[in-house]
Amino acid sequence: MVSGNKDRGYVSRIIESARALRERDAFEPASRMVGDTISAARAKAETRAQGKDTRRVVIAFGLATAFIALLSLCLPYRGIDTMGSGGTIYPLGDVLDCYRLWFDLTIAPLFDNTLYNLTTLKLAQFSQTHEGGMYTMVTNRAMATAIVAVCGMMLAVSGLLFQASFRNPLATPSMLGVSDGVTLGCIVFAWLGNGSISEDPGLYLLCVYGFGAAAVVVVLFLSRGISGGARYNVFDMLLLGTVITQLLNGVNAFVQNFVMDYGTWQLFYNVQQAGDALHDPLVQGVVAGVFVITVVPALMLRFRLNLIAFSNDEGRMMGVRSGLLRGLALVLGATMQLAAIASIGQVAMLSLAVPFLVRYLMPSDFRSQFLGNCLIGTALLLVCMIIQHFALIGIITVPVGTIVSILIIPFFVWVIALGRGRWS
Amino acid sequence: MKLAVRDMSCGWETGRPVQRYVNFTVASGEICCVLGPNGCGKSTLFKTVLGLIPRQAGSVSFDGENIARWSPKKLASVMAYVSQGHTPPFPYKVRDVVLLGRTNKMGYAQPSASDYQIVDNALNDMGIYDLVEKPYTDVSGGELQLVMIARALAQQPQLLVLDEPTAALDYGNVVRVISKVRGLAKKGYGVIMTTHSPDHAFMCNSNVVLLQRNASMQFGRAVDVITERNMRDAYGVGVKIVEFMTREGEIMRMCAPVF
Repeated sequence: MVSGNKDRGYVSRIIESARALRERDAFEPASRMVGDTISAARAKAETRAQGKDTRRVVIAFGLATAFIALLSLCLPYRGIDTMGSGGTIYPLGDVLDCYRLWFDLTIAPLFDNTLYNLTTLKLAQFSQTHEGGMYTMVTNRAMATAIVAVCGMMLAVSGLLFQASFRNPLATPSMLGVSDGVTLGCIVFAWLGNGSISEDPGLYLLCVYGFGAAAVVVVLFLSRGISGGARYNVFDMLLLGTVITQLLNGVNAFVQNFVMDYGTWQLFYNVQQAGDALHDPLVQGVVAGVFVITVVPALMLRFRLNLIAFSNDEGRMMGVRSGLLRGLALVLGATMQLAAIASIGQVAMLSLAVPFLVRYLMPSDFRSQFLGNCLIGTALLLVCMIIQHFALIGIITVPVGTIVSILIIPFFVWVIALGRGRWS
Repeated sequence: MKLAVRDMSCGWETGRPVQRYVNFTVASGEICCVLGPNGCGKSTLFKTVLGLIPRQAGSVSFDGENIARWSPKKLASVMAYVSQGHTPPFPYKVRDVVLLGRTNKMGYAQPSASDYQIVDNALNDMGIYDLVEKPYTDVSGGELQLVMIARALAQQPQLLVLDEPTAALDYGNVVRVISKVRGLAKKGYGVIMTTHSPDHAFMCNSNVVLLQRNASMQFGRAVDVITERNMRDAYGVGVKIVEFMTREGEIMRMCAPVF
């Protein structure tokens, strides 16, 4: 009897368990659906929040860049010839007067021919109320600021292209010998030229672009040769780049230390800092042209360029010849750095540090990275040029490359410490 | 859709094929598992079919058209490839990685709202939409594999080519990935995948291409090709094929090693 009751209790417990299981099964799809909806809603909320974060970063850097550019416009140009007289800032009101005058003299007559007649009168009026030569200095400064902004952008984007192509956050165009090629070009110019870049800008451009490009071509040609001539091998390219860079470095050091006399060395030093290149119309024209033919294609291809970080097979199976795309990215990057160094001197460190910094601040997608590098590269180089404006040791101007290195190192260490673990 | 491989020889060195006279077909809604020991040429076969390495003999046709001279763009419009052991280069967000699958359809334009919608659908299909904002370097191995399959789906292909999609995954992730692959075949995709486990072919109730080092390949239904004798010949170990009935009354087969 007792045993029968026990059996009945056991059976009823089994039936209850089975019913509970059936009910749970019936409710499971519904509860899973609710769970999925909640997680999808959470993901959408996160997407919106992160989108806003990225937008905030872009707006913050955009405003900071605009402010720095404005500050740069307010500084009079202090070139090699006026070394030691810098360190002043024109009042913003006077600077704006200059730009108003520039607009009246340059842009307004395009729409009204009669305004040409007022040119002399307006200049005369301006010179009565403002410091002598200020108009020329400020307008020169505007051009210099524009060129520095363009160079900052190109240096940062060139680093981004190389780091993505080599899938390595330490890659820069210098690894293919661009910087050392340019230095060799400067040495040759110091021997052949007339002393300053403004005296013979054509020869200067020929030397620096020629030797810079030649170094890259030699690396690419040799790496294709040792890779069997079929495809470029990234590691072969890097190894050869390192060898050629070291070779050029050795040649440059030997010539500077044992072959050059002191006078030629001084010329070389000024030329290597790009001296008055920044204010030469020919150099400005060439760098503007290089900007258009390199940065604009990179901008147009900014989504597709994501694929250069992936393998050729993956790219091909997504319908893209990513080997060709990577080759294009390397050529664009090397040309960008070449043009920037030829215009403002050796600041290759920017190509390494800015993409590294942006990778920490913004999403890895090339579109975000491109925008971030353009803004931060511009801002950072302008800041360095502003600092250089005041940084004098005696009458010697501190090279902008030195300022870039000093300014960047603490940021770099900070970013490495914060970003540890984001890649391996 | 029908992919047909006829009398194909493949290998890395000209004149020294690792596989000769490979013949098989994959149609819409079918799964084809490529089995074989290490080094028998499974990945080489895939790369040859996809045109990533040159074919030494034979032909590959898609709906009767020889694909030998197809451009990457045309090939990518019908086939998507998930490679073995993808290494993330940078911490891209999951959505950005999957969006790359749209490159072929977008040309040189930037992604549109419809591209993002297709990406979201692919992520939903793989059940990983909640990872959308995560860096794909931070997801688990199984999730990473699903992200890669979602990227392939975003290409809107007719045929998915998966090279060892379950390699280095734990048991739970293996079952999850296989379950998604079965789901994709039910939706009408043709799937061809390499695997080291004959059980996966049984789980998918698929066709099997069995490659061996020194013998000709075999192609047929899993139940016909995965036999105790064939397994011993291919892998050099004894196995027992065990059968059991699932709760739904379906007969399942598994390979059990014999020690």
